[in-house]
Amino acid sequence: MIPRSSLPVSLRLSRTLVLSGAVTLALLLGGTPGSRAQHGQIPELLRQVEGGVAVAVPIDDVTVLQAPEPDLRRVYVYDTAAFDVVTKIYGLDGTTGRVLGQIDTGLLTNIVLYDSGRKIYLAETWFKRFSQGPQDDFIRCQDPKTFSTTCDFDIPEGRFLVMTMPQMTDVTTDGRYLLYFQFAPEPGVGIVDLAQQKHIRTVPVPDCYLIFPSGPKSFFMLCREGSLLSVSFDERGEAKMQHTPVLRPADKHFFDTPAFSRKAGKIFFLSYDGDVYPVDISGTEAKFGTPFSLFSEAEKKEGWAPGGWLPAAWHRTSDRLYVLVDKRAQWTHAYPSGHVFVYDTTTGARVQTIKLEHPATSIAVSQDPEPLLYALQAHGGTLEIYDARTGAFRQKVSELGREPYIVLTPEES
Amino acid sequence: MLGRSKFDQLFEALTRRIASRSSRRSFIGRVGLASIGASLVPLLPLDRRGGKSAQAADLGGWKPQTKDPAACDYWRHCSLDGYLCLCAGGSLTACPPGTALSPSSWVASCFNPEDGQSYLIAYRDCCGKNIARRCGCFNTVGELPIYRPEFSNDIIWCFGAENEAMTYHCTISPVIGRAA
Repeated sequence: MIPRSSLPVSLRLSRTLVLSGAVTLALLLGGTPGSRAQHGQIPELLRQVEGGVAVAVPIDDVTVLQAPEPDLRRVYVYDTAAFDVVTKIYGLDGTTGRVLGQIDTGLLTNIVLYDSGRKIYLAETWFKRFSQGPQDDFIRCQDPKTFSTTCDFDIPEGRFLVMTMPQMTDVTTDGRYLLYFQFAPEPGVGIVDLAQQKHIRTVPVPDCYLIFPSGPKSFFMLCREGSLLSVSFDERGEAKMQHTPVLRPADKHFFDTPAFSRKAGKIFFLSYDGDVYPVDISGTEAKFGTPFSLFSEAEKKEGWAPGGWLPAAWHRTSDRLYVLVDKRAQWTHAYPSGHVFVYDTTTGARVQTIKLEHPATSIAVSQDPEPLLYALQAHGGTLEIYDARTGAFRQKVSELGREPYIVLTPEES
Repeated sequence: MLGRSKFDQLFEALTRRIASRSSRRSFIGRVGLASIGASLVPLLPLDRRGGKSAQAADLGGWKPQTKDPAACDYWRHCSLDGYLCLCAGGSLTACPPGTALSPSSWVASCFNPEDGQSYLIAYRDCCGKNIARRCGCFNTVGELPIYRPEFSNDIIWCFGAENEAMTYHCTISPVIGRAA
């Protein structure tokens, strides 16, 4: 192997020519730094190597790219790779389908996008010796242009290791505090001050799960018996809690991954059998909206039901709810669906149906005025991109890891 | 003061006990035992729609078989979302060498088409190594959301494993009794 630094500068500039075998010949011919070519010129030495054939390829500049400023069509695909300890996030430009960069991550990372995607927070878990040794939980910040780490600080170990559910971690509406769920040794919510880059306190909570930020120092959770838990806290992490009335009927079960908009303060819980339960948490109290069904009774009898890992996405400015649906047997609620049905959440009316090119596990929509629908196939590693308003297929992006389950889009803060 | 169910109180009491003096192993072990022994069994969703053909679960639903335990549609695996230890140096009921058997579990009621009975399976994760990535199964019969964690197969159930090994390798499917 030839040390790269020992190559003449002219050769280091052109990887193509190095690969063509020019290295050996050039060294024999005695290329030196003194024969350095100007950018865009073709050195005489390399003309000889090419046997006199005219060479039109200029000398290349090499560099490390930056991604453009993130916009609302930026989309992130997280490959959880089942429960692998080494995982990755792909950042893509939804408009072009181009992969912009990669973020390396650990076991079951939670990703939080804030401020139109200008801020990216990762709640992470790693182990000292690959899969073994002491566990280390920490928070990192990522730059959406350089895809590099801009903060990294420790939190107490205990982050809930569950197949990534977006609402297990989020930030408050003003972006000041990051909140993450802890399951053992006791259920709690860790409060992290992002300004001071410091864990403040883990607040014990009753049998409640998922975190829906509702204000600068408040959030809601979904509890076992069907109520929500309203939690407010102060800068020391001292919390006050109160249960709401019961939202979830005893004979229904909600998906772990409802559609949620932090900006609007709206949650759309989805039941296994296809009913939607809207909740407005933009005020100090949760307001339960009127539930509506995704299907007619006849359709339910035919087996139509929602299904997937992230089966619902809401476009805020158009009030459209996109839901992955298919005809399915009971207990197939986590399996991919072949259709996306679209609903006006102000009326509950179905306004559009989209047949996907391939069944998808998770969906997201961009929050720009001309939204795109992203449909992710976990067991194919492919993201399909559609015009969300017309349902027209635009393109697919393949080779996005082994088992990508998560697709996320930013929203304005 | 918050209104709390009995399970809430039990759960909280156990968690506070562990927080004060004992290990995660005993905490989850007790929660698991309490869950299985007390309030949860009557609530188990039973799937008695066992079909005749042997094939992997799809949108058509679960169709268990009784002949090949290394296949995902083997009846005991009805709520197993992960990798079969049987294909990774373990067996239906034993972890592979070098892994740590977790004392915590999630439960499901699986229908055995051979005798027409349903059995409780307490799935146990084998921990402390990276994922086996052999015989991957994605079965969800009776799987409930995370607010019912004892029926959730999306959790890394390695709580209490030796050396606090919280990495997931594979899963075993032991029977712990007949379903009610």
